[in-house]
Amino acid sequence: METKEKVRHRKTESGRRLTEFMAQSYLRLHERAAAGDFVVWIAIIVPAEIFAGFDGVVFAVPESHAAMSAAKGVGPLQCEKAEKLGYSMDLCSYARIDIGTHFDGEKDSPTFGLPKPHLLISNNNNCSLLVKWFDVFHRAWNVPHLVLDVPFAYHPQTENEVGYIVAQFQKIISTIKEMTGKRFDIEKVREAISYSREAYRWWKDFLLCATNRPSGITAFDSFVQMAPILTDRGRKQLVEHYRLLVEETKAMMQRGEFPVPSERYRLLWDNIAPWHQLKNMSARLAALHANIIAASYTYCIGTVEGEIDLFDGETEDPLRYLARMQNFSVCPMGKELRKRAMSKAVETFGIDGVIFASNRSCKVYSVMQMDLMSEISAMHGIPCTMIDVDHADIRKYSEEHAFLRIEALLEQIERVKRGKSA
Amino acid sequence: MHSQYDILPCFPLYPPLEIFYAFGYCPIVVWNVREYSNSPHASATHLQNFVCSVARDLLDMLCNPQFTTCTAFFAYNACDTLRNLPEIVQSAFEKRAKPAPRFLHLHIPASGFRFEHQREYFALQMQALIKNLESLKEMQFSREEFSKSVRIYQKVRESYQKAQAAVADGLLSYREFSETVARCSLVSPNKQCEIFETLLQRRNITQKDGIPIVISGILPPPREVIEYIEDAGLRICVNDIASEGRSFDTFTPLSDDPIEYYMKFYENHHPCSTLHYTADRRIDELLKKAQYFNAHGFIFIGTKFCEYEYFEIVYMEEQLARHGIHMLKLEFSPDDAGNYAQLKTRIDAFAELLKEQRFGNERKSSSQKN
Ligand code: SF4
Ligand code: SF4
Repeated sequence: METKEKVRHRKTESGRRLTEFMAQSYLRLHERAAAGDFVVWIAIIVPAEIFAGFDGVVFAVPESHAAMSAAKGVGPLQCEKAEKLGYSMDLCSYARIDIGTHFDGEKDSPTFGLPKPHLLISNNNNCSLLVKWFDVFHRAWNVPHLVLDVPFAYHPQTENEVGYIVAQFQKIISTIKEMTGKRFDIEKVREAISYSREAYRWWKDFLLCATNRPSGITAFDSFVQMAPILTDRGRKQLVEHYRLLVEETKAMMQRGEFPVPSERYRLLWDNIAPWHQLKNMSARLAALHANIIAASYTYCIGTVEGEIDLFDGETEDPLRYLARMQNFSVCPMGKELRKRAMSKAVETFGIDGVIFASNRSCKVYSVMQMDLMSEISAMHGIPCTMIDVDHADIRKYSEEHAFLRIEALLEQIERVKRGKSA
Repeated sequence: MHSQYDILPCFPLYPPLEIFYAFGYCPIVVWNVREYSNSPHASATHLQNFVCSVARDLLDMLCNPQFTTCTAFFAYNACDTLRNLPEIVQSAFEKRAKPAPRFLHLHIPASGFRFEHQREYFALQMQALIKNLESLKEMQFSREEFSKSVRIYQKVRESYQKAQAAVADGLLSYREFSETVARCSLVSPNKQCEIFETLLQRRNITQKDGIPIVISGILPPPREVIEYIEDAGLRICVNDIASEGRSFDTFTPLSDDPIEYYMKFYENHHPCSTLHYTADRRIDELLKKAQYFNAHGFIFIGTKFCEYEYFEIVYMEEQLARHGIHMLKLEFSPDDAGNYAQLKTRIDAFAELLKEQRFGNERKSSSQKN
């Protein structure tokens, strides 16, 4: 890169487009629900593309709503509402936000809440807590609840597992047919999958902007930009959004605009985004010449078990493809598969150190991090640290404690660098 | 512990014990095993401090030199903590320069066995488990051995039920009973029957007049807390403790076909938050039992950080209250061992409340008679 590097301060065009995209997305959801569409609430990994096979069926994602609430600063307020109803403060903060919001008539929600569901579909591969969380609504509102049972991945999916998952998709389809009386068109699902696939391709290009030195992005950019993937998988607009995102990011890099031009420490983040800290943490890190350039939370999107490259198999059969993609996030994977993916990420992005964000809300992501940390550090000879962060409940986060550890990590990296250059 | 057996540690609570025993293993359910954890706690280097005590004790126990000789262990899918634990166990062994034991696994369909695909998938997995056992033990599966094993475990359940009935009738103290059950989880099934028989011989009238209550949780309360409960004049009639009542209250028809047997076993299993995604059946069952014993109190023994239990308890409290059953919620964290004195006052106050209610009801019914 020849141009003199400049700090990228202003809100980017893609950032503005994202705000607009999300506003439109929730508006559309509310409008279609009000017009009588059948509303399904899904856990993030439930294959959203299936709903494209029906006319008049829309889906809403409570986890995404909870993340947005946390990012907009209303996380603790909604959590407290759930706590007052008796839900323990130790339960996942997404669940508490969501329960707090919906049992308080959608008040204080940045998206005016979610339209009431006709059907709930949870799954147990992202986490089994989601199943209990959806069960709360099932009982409160007497809404049917299907559980997509996806075996945890200690190894890449087997043929038996694929068959089992596909059979469950068929059950989802037949249930919606029965409940709505609507026709199901698999060709529309195929088309939706092609949009998702293309969007993932652009997403990967976007993440790869971090391989540049200095990195063209921060992981914080990827945290915020992943939202449309969760709420709008299978839609054409998604492809356009990510294409423009890549174009704009590359153009900025061409102009020499980087988030941390003085980048000296390239870090990797392991866990969900600290939604309440996006601005704070990135600014404070930048002042220390550090950039979290990649995150396991976002590099897993579009991939499967232990990979960071795009999953490009199963092009013929839409339901088989969706079954394979049930393992696209980090949580459904065991330690060995996560280690494999993380190792590849460390190499691909030229990582100097890893921050393991230990998150007591999300046991499924966090339990195993201590072993993962020691193993990654030993394999790659890079320092790692662990900080305590709840992704959505700021009451369980201490910035000073976290930064004490992060600064110590940077010192360790510095020593390693000096050792190497000596 | 019986060292002549090939020990097979299993978790969580409802492993297919019969099949392991039929292959010559002595399966032990690694639950409620604090006294076998080694110190300094091995789990501290593998698990963060917000991991529940069940998982921590389990790892500590397996890292105890008494167990590091085991060649295999078994786990099925349960909570988010437990699903990560098998690989952590293997790492813990490797980090102690011990060969990692083989991990035997079974995925139990979370949404039941109503549909063909669920039954088919489960059958395939059972077949794979049997194959693994055949290769580990270098022997063929025998229907006859399996059937014998099923019968032995049935006897264990019967013995357990007799003992629990004696507790409900005030003929045995819950403390003695609970300690016996904990001891039983680490021995062969034949030995378990013997231990229960000895316990039953000690039946005598302890507190027939105690106020009947329900007790529910993942683990039984610590010994001191049981004493506070019994000393306060409460009698545990309904046992909904995962390692006790929920583990032993399921009777499955005898069979020599493991696939058929376990499908029925898991499908009709006593309701448990760790096995069933919905609390619907659990609350119905509890209410039925509470009404049968005329229980007016419910003590929740919370294991801190157990999401499964804490999600369901809100609904249970609501439902119990609608039926006039008061709830006392106690919480136990791994760090408060031995520090239970402050719970005594709460338990006494709860017992007072129930007594007042009982006498109030009695007064009401006698004045109605008059
Ligand atoms: S526990 Fe973790 S994976 Fe589950 S809903 Fe909460 S944040 Fe998501
Ligand atoms: S106590 Fe709860 S969180 Fe702990 S292992 Fe058991 S089910 Fe899991």
